Amino acid sequence: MKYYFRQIEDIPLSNSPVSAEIYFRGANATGLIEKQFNAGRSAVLLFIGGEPGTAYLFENGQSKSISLAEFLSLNDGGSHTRAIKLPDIAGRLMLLGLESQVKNKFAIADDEAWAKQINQWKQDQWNGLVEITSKNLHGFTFFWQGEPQKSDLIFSTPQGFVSDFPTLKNADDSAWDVTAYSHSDSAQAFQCTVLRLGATHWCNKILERYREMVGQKLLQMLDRELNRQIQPWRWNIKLDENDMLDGHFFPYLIDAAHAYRALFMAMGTQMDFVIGNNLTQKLLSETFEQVHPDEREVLKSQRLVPAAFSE
Amino acid sequence: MQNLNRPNPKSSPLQILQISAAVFVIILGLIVWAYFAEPLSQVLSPFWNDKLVDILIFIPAVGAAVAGTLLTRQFEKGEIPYHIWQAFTVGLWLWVAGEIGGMVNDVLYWDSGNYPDFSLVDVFWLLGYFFLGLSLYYQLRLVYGAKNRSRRIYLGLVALALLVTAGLTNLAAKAGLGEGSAWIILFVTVLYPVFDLTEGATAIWLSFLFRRGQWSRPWWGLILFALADSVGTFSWLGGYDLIPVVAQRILDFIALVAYPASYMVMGLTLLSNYFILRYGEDSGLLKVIKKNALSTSEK
Repeated sequence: MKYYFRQIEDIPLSNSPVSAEIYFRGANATGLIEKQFNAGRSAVLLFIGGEPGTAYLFENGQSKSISLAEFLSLNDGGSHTRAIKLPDIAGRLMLLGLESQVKNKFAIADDEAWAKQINQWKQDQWNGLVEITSKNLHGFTFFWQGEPQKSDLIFSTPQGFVSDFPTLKNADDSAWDVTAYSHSDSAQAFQCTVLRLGATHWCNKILERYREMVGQKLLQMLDRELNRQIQPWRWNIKLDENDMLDGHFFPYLIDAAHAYRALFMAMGTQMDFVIGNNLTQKLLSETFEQVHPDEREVLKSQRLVPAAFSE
Repeated sequence: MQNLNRPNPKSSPLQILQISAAVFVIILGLIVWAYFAEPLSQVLSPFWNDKLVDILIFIPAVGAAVAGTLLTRQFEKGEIPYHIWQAFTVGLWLWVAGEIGGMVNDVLYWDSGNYPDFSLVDVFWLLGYFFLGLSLYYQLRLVYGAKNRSRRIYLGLVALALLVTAGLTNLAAKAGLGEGSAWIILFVTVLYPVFDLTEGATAIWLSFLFRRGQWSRPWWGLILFALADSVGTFSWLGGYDLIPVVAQRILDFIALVAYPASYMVMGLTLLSNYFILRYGEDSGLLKVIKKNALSTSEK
């Protein structure tokens, strides 16, 4: 039976999806409502920033997307409803998993085997999501070009959510069930992930180059100003020194592109003032070329290109 | 990071810049007036009138060097911009030393009129060019993406400039320029316009690269300086013989104004950059960009 983030304590609600919905909407929170039925059936509804997102039904080891109405009407008598609050990162990786197909499943019994597997993914420059389930751990990590992405890594443990790469020893587990997912390039959640990685990597390169050109103080001024401008939008995005930390859960590509476009435009305007539009354009173009071609393609498809962000 | 200081509420950075600009305009007016009306020549002597002009030029020269020092101190020593503005500031202080040396020379040799062909003043001026050139070099390397600050290439370029100057000196000697002077003196005389041309052209190139960017504005001063000096070079090459007196007067006027104006532009822009770094948003100099709140309409 599919059972997400079992280590996380439920929100104390009266076993009612309606009260859970009211809770998520009121708190603008990301979370999930899980219904467990008899005979290994279960269903899950994902809330994204307080809004109900997609619902999925798990049956006979398969999952299928269902409507919100279907989810609410699901009841075979012996169901148990559970609601938990999720960090945005957990929510977006969970959605990516739900939109993906299982590529292979295997068990890992020791850290050596785990390290070997990671090395294999590195060598293959594999792109995909990995889900780990065990007694003390459940979570996801996204591999991009064979590297686990720090921004897309989250695990539930008895101590709560952690965003460190796990080892069996640290998790005090004897074995892990590992599921590797593959996805079609057209899947919305996959495109959102690649767009996010592209925007983050481009932004990091821009900030690093800008720091070289004007120094730490002006970079910090830029960070502060952009963080101030981001605030009213309630995006869980933050600029910290040379890094863009994107912990936001954009369910749709268009929303993510909208946010990144706004951010890059504000960045371009600020940099225009300090180093002039010519150098800003040069900086944006040079750093854009350094971004991975797959990420660049997704950025281009959303018109997130250097020419759009400097006068 | 919250190490920015709040500006003195009595006078905001913007007000200080506006007052400084107003003072510089007055000084510029006084220089033109003192040069053409020669008020002290009648009251005291031409020497004192000349010193009045020198002192009026000295004020923005020191102002620019002080502003450069303040700006440089805003960067950490490991940062590349620190090295750019440090070299720029050292160059400005050497030129301040050159201004002082010029005044000392006037005190020593005004009456006799026998100024030495080469003195400490030239050393200061030429070293000033060297460091300003180094600053330009660092900036260009940074713009074009080179990360190390190796000075070898720069020293190679300086050596190339010296070789070109040697060639031009021979040509000048053959053309009868600087007659009666030793070759080395003629060489130094030719070196000034070579440096002016090189640094002026590089500064123009940087200004094109930066367009109106706030960080490029100190370079505008070097362009003005090259313009002022080019008039002298034109005159030295005998260009004045080819143009009418009115045109000569216009060129004299341009040189007279552009020279102190170059210090003023460098001083004000360096000070402006210093205020931005020191006080950040509180400087009031970033208002232009603050207006552009995060918006998602594409340009």
